[in-house]
Amino acid sequence: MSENWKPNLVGFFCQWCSYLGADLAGINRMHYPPNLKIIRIPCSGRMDPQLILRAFLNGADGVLVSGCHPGDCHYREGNYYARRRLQVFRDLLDFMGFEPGRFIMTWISASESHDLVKVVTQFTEKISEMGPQKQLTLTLEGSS
Amino acid sequence: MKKLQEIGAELLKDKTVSGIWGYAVGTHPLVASPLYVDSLEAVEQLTFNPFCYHSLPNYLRDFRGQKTAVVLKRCDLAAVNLLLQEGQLIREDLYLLLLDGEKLIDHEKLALHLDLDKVDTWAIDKGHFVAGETRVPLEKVVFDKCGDCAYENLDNFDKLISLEHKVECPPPAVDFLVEYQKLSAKERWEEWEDHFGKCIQCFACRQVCPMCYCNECIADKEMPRFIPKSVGGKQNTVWQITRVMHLVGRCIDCGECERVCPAKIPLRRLTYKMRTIAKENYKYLPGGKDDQVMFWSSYDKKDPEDLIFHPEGK
Repeated sequence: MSENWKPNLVGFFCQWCSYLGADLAGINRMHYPPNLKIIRIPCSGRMDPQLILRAFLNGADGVLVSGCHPGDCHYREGNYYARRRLQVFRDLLDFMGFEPGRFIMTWISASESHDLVKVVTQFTEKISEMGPQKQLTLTLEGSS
Repeated sequence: MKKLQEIGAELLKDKTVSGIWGYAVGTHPLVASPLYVDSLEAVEQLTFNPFCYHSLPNYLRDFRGQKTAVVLKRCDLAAVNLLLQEGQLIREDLYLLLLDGEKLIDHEKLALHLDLDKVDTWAIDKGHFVAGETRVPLEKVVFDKCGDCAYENLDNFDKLISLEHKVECPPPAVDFLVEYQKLSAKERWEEWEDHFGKCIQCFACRQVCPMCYCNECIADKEMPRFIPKSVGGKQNTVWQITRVMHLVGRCIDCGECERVCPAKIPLRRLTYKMRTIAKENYKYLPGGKDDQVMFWSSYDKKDPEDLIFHPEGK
């Protein structure tokens, strides 16, 4: 691990809650690590495990998915489907031995900018300790 | 008790069905091949033995709109249930012939006991597989998957067929996941890297799977290309994770993917684990009924959620 390595994190944020939470954090001039690249998704129910795999293949060190609290989904039940899908996906990754903790999910509403700052800070710290993700990142050599 | 051929001949004679999907003896005494029969002369070729692995529900989608009878094992009936549930088949088109509690014999296990090429005739006798001088107890050669069949109680078939020489034995007492689960996360991943390094992306696992029926598979899709086209350990891992994710709550544990894999990758480990998760965490048994809600299109407010990250100091 080179000394100036910084974690490269991808966040998939629901446009109705977490994305607005991040907006609010910006408006309030709150500070959180700049390592997280936020991608807006229409609902956490949009999250396809494929997108997470693609992020890891392209070198993401950690993936964070964030949606509305259970019961608060704009589409009523999207986050319940997301929870089931991603929970099973995480179980599969764990079973295969992918480093635990690289992929997490969280519930953040539009007003919880404090929580967002905490989540992003703690996630960044954790991934910084773990080091670069090499298990799925495609290198020029291609195969592992 | 009527034989398979007699039942088949009756069905064809009174025009209940226009054809029958079944099995015929293959090119070698220990091999069977799928067979479609639509005439009384050909019906004599129908047979069933413990080497009839092939998953016949795979062919039924091409026969929609004409009444077809099909010879099924328990796991195949579960596959038909799931295809009905997903709207891929029409129940009125089908005439389901279920074999009574038949178990299959694994070539690989058998090869440990005798030279398969030299077998001319074989028989099942009092819990043993007999070929020439060799007698092997059945529980040593039947598939693991047949040992813990989850579909003993399926009852939505049209006719139950009992065979004369049934493969009956106590279930093989091997829990194939025990050793694997003792490994640490790192060792497990390294093992999979080894296995998937051998994968050549022939997609046999997809072609043989009764539940993989998409006209355009995500692996063939461009724009966006989710499964990298190049072959390599990581790319192959992504392909298998994708395939297994598509089979959660749908895999009926026929074990065909593992059997056909030319690289001998233990694929059933993954699908079996996902079945266990669906069963234990979500109380879901795929293919148990033909009218249950699909696993992915249902949720429970009390679903487990230990992946949810709670920040410290909240």
